[in-house]
Amino acid sequence: MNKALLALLLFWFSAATAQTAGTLADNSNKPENDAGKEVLPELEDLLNQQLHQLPANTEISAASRVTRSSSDSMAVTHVINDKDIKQFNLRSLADILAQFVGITTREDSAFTYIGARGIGRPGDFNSRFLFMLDGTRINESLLDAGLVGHEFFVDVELIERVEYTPGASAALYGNNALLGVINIVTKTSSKLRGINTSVSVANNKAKHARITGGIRADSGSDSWLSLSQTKLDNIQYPLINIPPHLAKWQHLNEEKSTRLMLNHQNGGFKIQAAGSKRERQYPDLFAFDPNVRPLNAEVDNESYLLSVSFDDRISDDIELYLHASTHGNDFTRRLPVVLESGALLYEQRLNSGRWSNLDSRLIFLGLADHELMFGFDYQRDHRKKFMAQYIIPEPTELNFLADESRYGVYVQDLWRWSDKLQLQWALRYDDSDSSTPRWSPSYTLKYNWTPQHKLLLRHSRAFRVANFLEHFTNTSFDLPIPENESTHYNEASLVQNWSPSLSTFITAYQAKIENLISQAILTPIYVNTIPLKSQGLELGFDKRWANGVSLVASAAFQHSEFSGGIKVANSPEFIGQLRFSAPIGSPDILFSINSHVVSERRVLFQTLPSFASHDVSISWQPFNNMSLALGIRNITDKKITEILDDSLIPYVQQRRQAHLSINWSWGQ
Amino acid sequence: MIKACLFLLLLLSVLPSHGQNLSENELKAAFLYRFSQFSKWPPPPPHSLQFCVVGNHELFKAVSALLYAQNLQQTSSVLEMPSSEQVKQCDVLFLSQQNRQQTKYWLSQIEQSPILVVADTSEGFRQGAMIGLIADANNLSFRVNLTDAKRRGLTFSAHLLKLASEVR
Repeated sequence: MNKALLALLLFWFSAATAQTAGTLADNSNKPENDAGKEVLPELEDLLNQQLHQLPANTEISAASRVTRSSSDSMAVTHVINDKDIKQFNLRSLADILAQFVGITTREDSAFTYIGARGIGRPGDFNSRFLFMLDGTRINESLLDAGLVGHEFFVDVELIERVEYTPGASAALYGNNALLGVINIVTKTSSKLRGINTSVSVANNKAKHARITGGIRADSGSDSWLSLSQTKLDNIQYPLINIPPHLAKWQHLNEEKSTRLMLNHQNGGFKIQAAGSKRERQYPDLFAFDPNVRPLNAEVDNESYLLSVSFDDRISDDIELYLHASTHGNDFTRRLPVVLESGALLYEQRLNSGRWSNLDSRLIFLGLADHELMFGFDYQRDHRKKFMAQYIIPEPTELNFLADESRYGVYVQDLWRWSDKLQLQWALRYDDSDSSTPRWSPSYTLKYNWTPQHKLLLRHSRAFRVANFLEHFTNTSFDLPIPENESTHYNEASLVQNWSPSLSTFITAYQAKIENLISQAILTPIYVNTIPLKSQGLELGFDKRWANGVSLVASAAFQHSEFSGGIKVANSPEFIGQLRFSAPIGSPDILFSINSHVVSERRVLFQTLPSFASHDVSISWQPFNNMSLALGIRNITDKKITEILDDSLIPYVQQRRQAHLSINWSWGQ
Repeated sequence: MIKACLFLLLLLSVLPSHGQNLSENELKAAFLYRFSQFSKWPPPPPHSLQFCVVGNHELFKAVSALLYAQNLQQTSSVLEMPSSEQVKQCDVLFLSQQNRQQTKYWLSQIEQSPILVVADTSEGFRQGAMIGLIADANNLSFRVNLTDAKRRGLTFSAHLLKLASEVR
């Protein structure tokens, strides 16, 4: 393994050196034309020019539910864009989220969980984050789960940027926006024009291929269609000390995920369709006879989304957004059972959800110094179904079926008191068939003492309603449904741009969470916990140098405990992240290091050790239509273990992996 | 050995990187000039182009420097606009770092004049600028609003539309 890695590194080194020599010869002077004028780059070249400074403004939308410039934003929002995804060889949405300050990820090779702000509840399926795709809510409906692994229906290579606004945001978004809002923005055909393909392979036999066709019509309408597939063979068991007689069946542990996505935009109208199918097979080791090849258990996940939206200015004073979408998600697990007669049957479990969303919002600028927004969200859960078929001890089928309507109405006003002082308030009312109504207010004060330095003070509330699993589990035991989780959240942030090449942020937060919904120990029911306090400090800086070198670093110090001083599970007190990248002689070859440090964390009676993990990658763009990337994840092969649920089984996280990917376009 | 290779790569990475290295405002000025080349004004077309910049003195300086470097002082000039008095003299108006309300004010001042309005904020673009020149963390890209351009009698070349990140 080490020799193979070394060979790959040497290959890249020689390629880089050759490219450097060529570039040094080519760029000794500024280009001039025959008339002695400096040659002005063509439009295409200008689009490819890298900014070696931090831009004065970027575009973000997660913080205010409407697109705003970063300098005008009323909350700190962190962004990872397509260049970061390519440069740091990020292969899934979970990889992208792990780059954000204070976020940790944990996986058991079937599902990836994320935690932040001292809260990483075992088995919460990421339901304390709100996930959006181009502004459309995409948490699935049964568990309100956020799918961030291979089951996510957007290939990461189609992502333009991912925005993360940490903190409680229910005043705008309602349910689930408890720890943060994550908005995934997809690319347009300007980056996917013609035929665009990519292929990647990894030393652990993971393979990925994508083909995308995009077209921009003369009228300006924009369409692209993309198909991609990821295949993982011989997946390493994520468990410690696998006995050799079980390990020999590891080749039966495999996964295939396929994604299809269509995007069409014409003026203010946009149509989006996406679907994914994930098929996972693994040997059923519980029914294992060492002399017989084990039967495979099967896990399938199918999800889809179809959405239509209109977003435009309809008069000088009014912007309108209308959105309708329909979604589905089916999760099926089939476990083989061999009866005494020799007959093969399957025990099956199905989680099936079908739901539709209608959203609208209106921005009104008719009042001087005010930016008013009114909005209405409606979700109809057509079907929430949980079905379980058991064969042993006797054939049994359990069915839980429900439907539900949920809606929210909100208003937000941004009041520009003066050039230096702005106040934003928002208020939202939510109600649904299965829970009590709730009001969620939010107040933010922003003080810019200079255009480069701003202080943000925010107070908000957020909530999470018991999901279908928590709901029917308790009702099936004739127990009351857990109360809504609620949080009172306070935050102070200082964002400072010290120079065009250096910016910093510091955020101090404090949250009081009441009625946290948690699975009871030793019994399969859900209860509300005693109150919990979470407080912390997040800080970071972004530095660029004129030669193209950049360094982004962040640190999160967090402390969470229940009343009485009981520590919260999966809550590391320190999370550090660092991303460094630098051109090797030429702007076309970039060398990058991505490091994570996580302190020790407790889960019930176990303490998991701290760790530092480092990823290294090199990307090279030899031609405008071709790029290559080589990445080595967890280069020191650190053994990292995480506990994901109350079973207390430690799962081994990804060991060292080398990836090579090639991206090629035609007809751009 | 891996550590040695990593050290070598780190060492290489601190070598100076070559290639054109424009500041954000120099890049915006270059885009602005290219936009004017790919735009067509309603008849009679302007004999000389009057560029105007609002809200960004460094951008004004960058446009001046570009016109000088390209020997375009005879056919083009640039004005910095502290107020809206002269705004109707502009052929190309760059609204820099303006929010929704500020953009609305400037657009109301030019009424239906055939002025190519470029904004560098998404608020400015959504509020009625014909071209939005928006930065992400690494690059600048632009989007085009054909409806607003047509309303003012301006047309854009197919090349410009092809390269835009979004056309509305």
